[in-house]
Amino acid sequence: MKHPLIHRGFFRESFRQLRAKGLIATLLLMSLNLILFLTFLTRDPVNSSVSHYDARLMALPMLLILYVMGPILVFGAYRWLNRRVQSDFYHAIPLTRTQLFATTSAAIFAWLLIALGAFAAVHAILFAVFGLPFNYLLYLCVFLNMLIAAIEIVAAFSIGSALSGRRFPAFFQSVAILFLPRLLLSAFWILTEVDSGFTLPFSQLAFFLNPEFNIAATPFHSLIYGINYANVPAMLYSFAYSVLLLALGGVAFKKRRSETAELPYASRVLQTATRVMFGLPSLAAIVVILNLRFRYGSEQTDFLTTSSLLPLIATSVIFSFIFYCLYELISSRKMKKVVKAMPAFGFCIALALLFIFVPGWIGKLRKPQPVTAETVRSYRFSNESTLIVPNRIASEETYPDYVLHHHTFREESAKTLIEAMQKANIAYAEEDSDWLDFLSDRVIVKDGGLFQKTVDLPDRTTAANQLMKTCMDDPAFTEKLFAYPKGRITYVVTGLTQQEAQEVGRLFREDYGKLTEEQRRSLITSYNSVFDIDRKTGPVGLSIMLLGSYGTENYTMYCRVNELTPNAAKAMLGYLNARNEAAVRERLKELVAWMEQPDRSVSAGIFSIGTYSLDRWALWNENEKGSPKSAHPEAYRILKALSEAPLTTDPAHCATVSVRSYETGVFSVSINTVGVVGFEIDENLKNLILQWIGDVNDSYDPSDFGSI
Amino acid sequence: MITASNITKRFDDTIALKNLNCTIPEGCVYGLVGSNGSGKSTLLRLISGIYRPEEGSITIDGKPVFDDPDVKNRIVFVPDELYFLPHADLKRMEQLYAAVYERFSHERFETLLKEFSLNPDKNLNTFSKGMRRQAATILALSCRADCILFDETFDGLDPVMRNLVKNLLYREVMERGATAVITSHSLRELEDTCDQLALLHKGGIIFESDVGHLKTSLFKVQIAFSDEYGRERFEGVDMLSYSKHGSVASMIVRGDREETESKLKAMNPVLFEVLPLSLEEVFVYEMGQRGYEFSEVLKQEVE
Repeated sequence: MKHPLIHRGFFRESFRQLRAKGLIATLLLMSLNLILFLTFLTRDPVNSSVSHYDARLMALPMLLILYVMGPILVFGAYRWLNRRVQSDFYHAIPLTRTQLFATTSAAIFAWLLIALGAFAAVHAILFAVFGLPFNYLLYLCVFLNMLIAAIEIVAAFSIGSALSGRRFPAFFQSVAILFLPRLLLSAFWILTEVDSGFTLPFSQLAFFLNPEFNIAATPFHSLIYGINYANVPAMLYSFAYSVLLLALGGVAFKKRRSETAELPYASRVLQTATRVMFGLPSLAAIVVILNLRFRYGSEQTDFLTTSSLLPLIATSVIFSFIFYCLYELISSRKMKKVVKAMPAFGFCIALALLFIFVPGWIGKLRKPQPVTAETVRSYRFSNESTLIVPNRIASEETYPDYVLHHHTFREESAKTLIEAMQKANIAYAEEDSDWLDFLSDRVIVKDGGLFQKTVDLPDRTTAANQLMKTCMDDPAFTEKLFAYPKGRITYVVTGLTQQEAQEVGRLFREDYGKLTEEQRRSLITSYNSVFDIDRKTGPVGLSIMLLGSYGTENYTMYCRVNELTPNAAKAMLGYLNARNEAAVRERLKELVAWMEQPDRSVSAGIFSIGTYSLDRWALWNENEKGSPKSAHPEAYRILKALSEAPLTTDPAHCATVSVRSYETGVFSVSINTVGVVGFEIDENLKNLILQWIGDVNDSYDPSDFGSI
Repeated sequence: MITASNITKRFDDTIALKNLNCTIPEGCVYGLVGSNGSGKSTLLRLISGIYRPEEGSITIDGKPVFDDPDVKNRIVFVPDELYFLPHADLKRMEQLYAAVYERFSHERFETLLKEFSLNPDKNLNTFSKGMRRQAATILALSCRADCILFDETFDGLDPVMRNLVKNLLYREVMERGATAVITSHSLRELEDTCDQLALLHKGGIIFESDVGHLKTSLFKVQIAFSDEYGRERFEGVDMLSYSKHGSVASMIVRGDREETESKLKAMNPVLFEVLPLSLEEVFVYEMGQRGYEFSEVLKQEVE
């Protein structure tokens, strides 16, 4: 190529000129790196609300850094566009306008790539070195999204720089290019939404209507709805859009005249358009109010009477006009120009009117399209559905959720249920249009139409449970559900080192493979799924947590470890007994001695035995009369027997005991967990324990005693 | 050869150049003179490819300048207001120039540095106005360009440095056959530098000529006769102006000097003297011939 798009010499020069800013960007991202890593490293993976490292956590801070550093780099690289002398100097050098733009943009990207690349590499290395659960594929997706966002931000600000010869208009135009199209489209779409049993949610919209399909403009949306960073069509769209913006930047740059430097605009039409954009936000509130009035009459806005509405309209218009004129004054710095610009304020009003009336008419086209049992071909649970997993403790999906969201159901009985649910939705909507605000669970239905349809679950508990019951009749689903979880798994066991936990996990997997579906089901604790909602046992006793990642998705799963998984239980008990025996025996002896001669300033209790959680913690405190030994003779006998009982790793004849004591002070309570060990239990001790538990825990089931 | 054909350049509502035509031959020093706002700088920016004309075209050896790196590599432009990178010294600027100008010569840069005796490691922002212009000249001449464009060439330079710059320009023209286009609002400054001069006024060239020819083709004659005489005695002599004080007549004559001399001497005058004209005087008379007031064209500030 005679004149390569990127001029090597000028690239070196531009890169060099951006050195300070590029290093700051790198430094900022590296600091973020450290913060994210330390935050993850210093938290408790079991009790924390986030179990798996979620690469999505880094997306928003990274975007924020890109939002700051992208413009700084662009304005730094193109600062010569705003000074006539500098503009002439750079336009005189023997490069084509396209080469100037492409080479400068390449230098900006090179710095962003260095900053992002350094961040990504160090981030991945840190997690690999420390062997922390990390989904590399999801991480790659987030990283690619950030790269695309970087292109988009640089492109938008490059266009802004090319369209103006001053910093303020350039900045405002760039921000508008970046956000306004998405914002206006979303606003337009929201304003067309009709309250009904069926509306297309954002995630179902295609291309430019879907907020996920434009990564750099998504942060506001992602704060509310979250973003699927592994959405390949969305990434492709964002990439194509960013390249298009970049090409537009190139065209704007090529068309730009050197003499635009120090002028507020490259063309009068653009200046008018920008002023109008500046005046619009002040009209947003009144547009929404009038839009609602136009669509629903005064019901939705009955707090505003006609007499109070008129001053509101007048105030909005005046403020809009002030901002409109202010933009002209700041950008052109000439009062004469402000006066000349005034008539074009009519465009602001015209746009506002467009937003008031047109969405209402379009909204009528989005009327509910009923789903009938006959037309439903299949359905699946939306990823947005979170409340159907009532006992969920991690912020990420549990494995049963994962299977649920990725399975397509075809159960006939459910189809009728779905039809009924939508009918109920429409009926509710007619009665009370606010009801939609409380819904977040939905199923996505395929009925042969152009779009998939969504049906919200009107009565959360009943509908969800009814639907879930039909799910459990689907053998294809239950087969997937009770198969061993797919993907890369890291095991976490409270009280065990990482290495020990992985060893126990390996044995657990082997044991799990030998079990029947029903046995497997009994191992999955109620933390995991809706269909176990009625089970009364929690994750006490021995349990293992699976932190998995499959494809770009992460999941968690809590499983019991008991006599059904003998090898895993044996290994786990071996590690726990060796680690905790001395401390537990010591504490039990102290407790026995304390029961005989109590120190009234101290209270104590047994947290759990086996799988039994003791609701009252078997409390002894200063309010009880007599000695703890005389007040709770069974507990005394149990503690005494336990303190002398041998330990075992045999899950069939074992009860795990977790000992905690807590001391009450005037203002504080401190709890000391000593640890868990497995005691060998003979028949006498077993009966004694069962009898005592029956006294303190009404809901116990003696037949469960076999579980650790 | 630089050719500007029917160039029109506007800045919003202001017309900077209107239907301008000029041809600058290869290997000459071409001077553009005109008052402020006459369009000198705009013309240079058009020739250097910074501006694109609204109408017309600018070519170098038949190739359009705008957005063609091959042609622009043959041009270097030193504007009236100089630009250097923030906190840069001459070495840093050399790197920038060397990165973008294909023909940039480090040896030439070193030689010129010695000739101007400038410190290449000193921050250019600390330089005086004259030193900055020297620095810009060093950088420009190191580019070994075929067309060297200087706007307000000698602004801020002391007489010694002016001579040095002039000599360097001559060398570029003589040794390499380069073309230099230089501008000034002062005719005297260009008088002894340029081969060709063009006078710009309100966006157009109103007068263009070879300097040597200008100086020899126009001269002043003082003549007296023993008898009474009037203007009609000099019929056949191309006079631009005629005045008589007592018996002595003064006239500005255009034409072949020797031929005119022999013609007038044949009239047996009692006094006959031929006086050379300064370039400024030549311009005053030429402008007068074209209906312009010289003072209006070159001295008066144009809005």
